[in-house]
Amino acid sequence: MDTIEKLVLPELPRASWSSGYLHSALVILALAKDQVSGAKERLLVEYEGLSDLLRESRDLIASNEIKIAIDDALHQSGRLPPMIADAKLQDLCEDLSVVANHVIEHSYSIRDGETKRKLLALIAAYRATAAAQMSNALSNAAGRPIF
Amino acid sequence: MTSDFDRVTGHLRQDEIQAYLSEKLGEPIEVLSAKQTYPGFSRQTWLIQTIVGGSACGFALRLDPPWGASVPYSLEHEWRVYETLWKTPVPVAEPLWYEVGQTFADGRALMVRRLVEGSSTVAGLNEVGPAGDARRRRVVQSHIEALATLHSLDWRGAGFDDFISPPPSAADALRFEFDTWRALWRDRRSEAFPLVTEFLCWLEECIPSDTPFVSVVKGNNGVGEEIFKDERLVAMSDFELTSLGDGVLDLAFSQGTLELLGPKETLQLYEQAMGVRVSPERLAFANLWIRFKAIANINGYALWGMQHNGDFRTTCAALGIVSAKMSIAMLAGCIGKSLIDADRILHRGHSGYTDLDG
Repeated sequence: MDTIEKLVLPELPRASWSSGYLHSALVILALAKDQVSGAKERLLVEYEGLSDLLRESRDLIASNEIKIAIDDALHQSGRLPPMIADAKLQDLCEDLSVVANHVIEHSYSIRDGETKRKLLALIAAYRATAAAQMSNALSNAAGRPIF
Repeated sequence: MTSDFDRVTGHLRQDEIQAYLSEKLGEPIEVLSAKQTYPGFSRQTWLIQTIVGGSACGFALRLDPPWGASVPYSLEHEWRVYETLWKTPVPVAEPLWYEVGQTFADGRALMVRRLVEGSSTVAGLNEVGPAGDARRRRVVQSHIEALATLHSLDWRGAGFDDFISPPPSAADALRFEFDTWRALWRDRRSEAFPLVTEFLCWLEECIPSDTPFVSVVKGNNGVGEEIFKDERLVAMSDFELTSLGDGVLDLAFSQGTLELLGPKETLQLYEQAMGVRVSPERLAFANLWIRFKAIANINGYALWGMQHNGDFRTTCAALGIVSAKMSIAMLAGCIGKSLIDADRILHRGHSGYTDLDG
């Protein structure tokens, strides 16, 4: 939050140059404030969704390399500590997201129709939750910025 | 003397510009005004009015900002597009020089072109009523004519393939564009973004191959980019995303300009000017693709500049985080649909091009 304010405030005098800058500054400030209060809840949803996707897709994945990556990512994240710091949670989500990317790309490349269908269904379940969460969070955060 | 503020923001003082232009032109000039354009998101541009040898003379100075451009292509690439187009029927301002490493502006890459009389905005464009309708029609027609001239250009003859890699064939044009930008995205995204990964995996299975021929593709275009005078486009401008590929991408990247007239009529004008039909699938792909391409630019380049290179503009965070995530949530809703249905979802509530049938 402090960092964001340090970024925004020096820019405000330049707002007379164009109202667009002022608008941007206010939107990001509003967003930053909201993120401080709601960031952890959103990250938790992301974390749970990604963990479920990796756990449930593991046995359908043919690539040993990806199976190992899934095992590593789930092992690293382990059981979620109850008082986990936001930064740590963000790191965990990032690690899980990187492996999820491999799962998604692998799933789309599979030729076996039935396995592909099952994997895409798992991905779709994750997608629906993540997209809805992202959409809600952002529309609640700063209204509807017109960029 | 350059202040710290100017050094960080890339601001240029009028006296600095006057000294630089005088040296380059080999005679003393008087700068009457030097105005930085807004938003100048990708690069910085100054519109400069001067007196040279007793006559009024205008220049446009375009530079990389201190933190680098917010697009993947270099200013030299953009300069070469100007230089090449200047010898063709495509309307552009006369390019004068490109340089990098000079004392002026801390050695940032820069180019200078002549200032074309006109404006990147059109007064009364949103006016309600017959006069506004007629104005919008003139603007769109003129813009379509310019795009058709660009898309019909003999790009090999003009020398574009000397500095831009063309797709292997027309049928591969959209696939080539897809592969190019997917690689850029993987390299520069601020997070892993699994939703975008799936969007790209799905879209890859739907890439149309009915591109009739390879064209010079301008990139972002329309009002706000080009120069208009008397409601006609007099010069295409800002070629920071120019490539070789399928011209249909420009229809989708006109930033609302081509929707001023209504999608059906605009498309008819374009098809008449080009002499070929645009399939609904190609257009739908382009609409979806440009939404992704915008995300790749604002997150992978604008936000990157803020995170890594000292870009101080909060706009980068607003675009790279807020707008990118809003767009990603929207694209996620398109996955698994047909191209046409996906485009309808994307344009729900708007006058989407693929509602043409109905």
